[in-house]
Amino acid sequence: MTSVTLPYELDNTAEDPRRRPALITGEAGLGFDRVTDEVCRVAEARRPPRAWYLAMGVSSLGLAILVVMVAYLVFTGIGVWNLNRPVCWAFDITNFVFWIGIGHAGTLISAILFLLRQKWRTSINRFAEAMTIFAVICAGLFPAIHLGRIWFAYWLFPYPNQMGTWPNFVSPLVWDVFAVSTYATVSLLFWYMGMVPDLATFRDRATTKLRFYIYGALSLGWRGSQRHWHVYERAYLLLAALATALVVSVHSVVSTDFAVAQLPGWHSTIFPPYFVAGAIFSGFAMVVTLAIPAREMFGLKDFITPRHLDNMAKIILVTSCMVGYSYLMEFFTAWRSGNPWDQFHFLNRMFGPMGWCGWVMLICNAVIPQVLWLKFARRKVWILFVVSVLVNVGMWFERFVIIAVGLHRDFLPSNWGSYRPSYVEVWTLVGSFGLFLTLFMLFCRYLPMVAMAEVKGILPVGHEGPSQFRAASDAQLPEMGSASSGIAPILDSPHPNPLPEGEGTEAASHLPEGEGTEHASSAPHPGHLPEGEGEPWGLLATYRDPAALRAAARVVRDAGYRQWDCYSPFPVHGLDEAMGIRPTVLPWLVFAGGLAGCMLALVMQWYVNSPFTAVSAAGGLAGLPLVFSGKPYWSLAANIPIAFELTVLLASLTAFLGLWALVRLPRYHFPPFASRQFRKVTDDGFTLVIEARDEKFNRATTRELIRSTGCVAVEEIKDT
Amino acid sequence: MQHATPTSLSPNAPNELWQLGPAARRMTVSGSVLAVAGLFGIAALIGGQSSLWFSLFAHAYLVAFTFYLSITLGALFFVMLHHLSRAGWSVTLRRLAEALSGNIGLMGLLFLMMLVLTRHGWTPEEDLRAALQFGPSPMHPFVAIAMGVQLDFTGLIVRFVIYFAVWLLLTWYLRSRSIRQDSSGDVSLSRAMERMSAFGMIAYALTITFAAVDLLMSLSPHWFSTIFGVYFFTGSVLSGLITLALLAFWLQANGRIGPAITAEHYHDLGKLIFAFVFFWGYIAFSQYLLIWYANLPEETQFYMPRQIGPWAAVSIVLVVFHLLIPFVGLLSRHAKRRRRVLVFWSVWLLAAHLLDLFWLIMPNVYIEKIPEAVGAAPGTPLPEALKHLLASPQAVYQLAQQHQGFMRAVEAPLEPRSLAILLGMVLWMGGLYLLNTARLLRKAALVPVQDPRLAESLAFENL
Repeated sequence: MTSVTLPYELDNTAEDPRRRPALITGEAGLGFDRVTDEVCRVAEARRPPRAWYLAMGVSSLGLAILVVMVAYLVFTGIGVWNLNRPVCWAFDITNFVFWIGIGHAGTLISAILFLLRQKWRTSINRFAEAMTIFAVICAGLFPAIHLGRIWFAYWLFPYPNQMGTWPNFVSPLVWDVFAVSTYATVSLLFWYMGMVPDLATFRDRATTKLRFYIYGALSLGWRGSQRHWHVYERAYLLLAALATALVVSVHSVVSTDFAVAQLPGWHSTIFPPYFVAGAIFSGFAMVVTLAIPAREMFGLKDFITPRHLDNMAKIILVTSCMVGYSYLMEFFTAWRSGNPWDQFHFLNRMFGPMGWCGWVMLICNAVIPQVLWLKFARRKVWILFVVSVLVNVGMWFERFVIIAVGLHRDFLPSNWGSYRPSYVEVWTLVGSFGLFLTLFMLFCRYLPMVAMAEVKGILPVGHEGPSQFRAASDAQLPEMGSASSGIAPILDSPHPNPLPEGEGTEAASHLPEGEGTEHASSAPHPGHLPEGEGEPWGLLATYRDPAALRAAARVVRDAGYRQWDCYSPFPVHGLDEAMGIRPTVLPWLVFAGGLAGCMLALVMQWYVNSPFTAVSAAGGLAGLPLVFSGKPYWSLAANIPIAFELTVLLASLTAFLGLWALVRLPRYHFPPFASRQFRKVTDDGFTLVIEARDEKFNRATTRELIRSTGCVAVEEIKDT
Repeated sequence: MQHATPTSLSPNAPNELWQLGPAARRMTVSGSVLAVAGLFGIAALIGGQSSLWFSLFAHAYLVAFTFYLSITLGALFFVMLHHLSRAGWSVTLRRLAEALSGNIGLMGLLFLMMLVLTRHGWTPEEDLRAALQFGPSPMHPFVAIAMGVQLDFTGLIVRFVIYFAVWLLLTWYLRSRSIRQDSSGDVSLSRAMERMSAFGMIAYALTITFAAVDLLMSLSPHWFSTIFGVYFFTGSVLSGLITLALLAFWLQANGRIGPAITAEHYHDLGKLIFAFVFFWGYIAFSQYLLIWYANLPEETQFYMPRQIGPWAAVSIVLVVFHLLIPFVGLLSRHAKRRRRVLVFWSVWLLAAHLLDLFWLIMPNVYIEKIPEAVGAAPGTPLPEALKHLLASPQAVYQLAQQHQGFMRAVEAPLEPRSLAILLGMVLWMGGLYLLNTARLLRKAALVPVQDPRLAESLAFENL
């Protein structure tokens, strides 16, 4: 074969409605192994780039400042902040809302864009999800330290106690505890679950024992089994749907911290969706702020292409318009309502003593991002970077304006006050960036920054749908007529294990039993298992591409085998059908889990605040009925937020734990791991294994069957 | 699951299934039957003894009008979102949505008719005077004038001219360019529609919001809610998607379109419907929770009259039928992929959406009368009047002893005769809507035959 036209365009932002542009450009767009190499390069390099040390130095300095400031606060008392009456919340809660908002983009990218089938998300979702976790850590810090006596933070959770006190579930501040902790948990599960296949890649490429054991333990023995992928995909979809509902609820609950009050500027019915839009807006700006330097620093320009930046810029523009719409509605409604306090608040917001904050917010959030209407601005990386930084500034000020400016002048002029931050507050904010960036830098260095398995799934070479239309519309090569020719580039690429084309089966038959294609010259893998004795565990066949594997799966299925499986670096479309895998029961488990969570939450809230249990139960289990905001002891409306959060929490936990239970992982011992061929499954290998315990298994006939399927190599796996 | 067989559906081959053809006749006949049947319902007005008859008629007209307006605007949103997101899957559905959105001209005519018929019933002059008297602001002297401007009749006309101009322009542009592409196959038209949709979306967001304020929120002139525009928007998109699914199903049941729309497309439509059921619930709950919690009289005046007597049940039915039951019903992927199940939920939700508008609009028939009934001076704000009407601030379901007679006015919109008028109005307008949709569908192919992404849509499969 001669050279193939490279399946990429350098400018993949050009829009031609007749075909979809390449999402991964350059070398990485050529084959699965290239993706693995490019992504692993960052974490496997002996030394990170010099810029990483610089960034790490600055961030850890920030972290040190944070530690000092928090220690000073805890040992001295909350008075070191300049909070006062009436401004009893300022930097602390502003930072909390700011950071929790930053996190939302990660969930948007990983969950909402997944549901909307936005394939470009695969390049950025991993590090946006990491960003979510780190932002939630920063966010959680502020409400904790603003309690003053941080060692009593556990009082926020409902547990039976001698004092007979319980949290009041009518209070939005308690809703917050549940929303944020659910959000942190589910984000962590989602992030980790998405990372398991990539950690397995790291494990299989490990060159030191330390790396092998750490990544090996973390990857739970993941082996790319199609039966696992089948459940995994369903679990991912369910978690994405749950996370979507969750992300909307979390910032809505945060907004109720303000909106249930009667304070002008706080009490506005548009707050829940307005906060969600603002959170996504600020989070996306943060993704852009981090992605632009990261793609430079780690050489990820083939993954985070101009098209990715263009799309992110458009999302920033859309959410900017939503935030602008909310501002407009607030001002318009204040004007239309004829409510003097609302009207005063909005005049004071823009023209009062702290009016400049209002203008920073308005200009940075609603005016400056409008420049992104121009394609020119979306293409110029530095313009995009500046806009994204300004949006971050603007969104911080938005929360500050709502909280501090809202508080400083309320209904009674005799109650008016003012606020200036103390140096402790300012440096704590700076320090929280240090914490965030330190964690982010460590992540970039030690974990897979790009979701390799997902990126492989969207490569044109990995795509061969069921029909010609799909191949023609998705493939980048205009001359690609049929599905199988879409694999051409991978064949031409220099393969680490070159196999003579067309002689695959013969090549395999020359190999000594049990050795596979193991190269004597290469150093043994750190996780190399001792050779098994005698008894065969199964037969392993390697295929050139997903289509060949799928065809082979049909043959094996029709031959009546039961104990067999296919292994691939990403879930191959249509393979589960070809193998005859039955749909998983996971969705029903998740439904049951969600229902249980909902019931648990409703019963708990009723029990804890009910006058009935206050008299009928004793000691630490007696209920604590409290009147709060003039509300009834027990009211369903106030219990819905927590019922929702616990529904999502238990459903997500069921999805996560149910996945591993159904696929029976972690299980670290698996005889095919001894095969070098098999370890390529997490890179670019497509293999099929028929196990010896199958009733129909016969060394000779099974081998014949496998050879007839057009594999490139056959290998016998010994039991270990 | 029926798969499109791609080879038999070459995008370029003339396909007679992709014309309305004989189905046009059926559509016209059913439209005419509905319109005539509706007139019989409206005829229930004749001989009605209620002193509220004009108010009932005017509000019923408004319910039907906003119902069809919301469907039309929902379809327009679908078309613009399709272009803006460069969607591939929905190409085969787009022409149907374009036809539904094309009904905006009919809605304009019906709006003119509403102005002529119901000028007084709709924005009563007492309300206008009341609005002018409310809230003299110590901060801003022009507030009172501003309130006048908001409810001023001339201003209202000017605003509606702008709304309809924007909607007509958007639908005309997107529909005519799309049809032009059928014959020319010009790819640049796709880009032109995309650009128009970007600006259109901004104009759409503003016009639908302010139209919702003018049409619905102004019914309670002292009440305000910043989320209200979003609330109307969610209902609009939901009803637009539902009607689109029903139209596609009806055309396929009548042998049109063929395998160009498959279970895969219904699945995606079902997902969007599910999402908007949830979104509606989210927005409705956000509004309710915040108003319930803050408990400010100027805001609770919206919910309190809707909890008196039988209306408390209507409110609960709305939540259960618009959110809880369809949410569970549409959760499973099977519900979205089986056409008949999806059609069942679509009809259900369309009824729920009608109930939503009924719940928003019809209580006004008696709310308007509350200040008068309790003998308050004209212009007394509703929260003040409600204090006298209700037995106690806690017992919002009961009227005070001396005002028991008012319960007849409260129940008036729920009487069989009133419901017959409303149903007649919905059917009559629905008949006209169907006739006009048939007219629009006949003008072009049912599928954008030269769309550059048609092949992608024909081969579309969910994961």
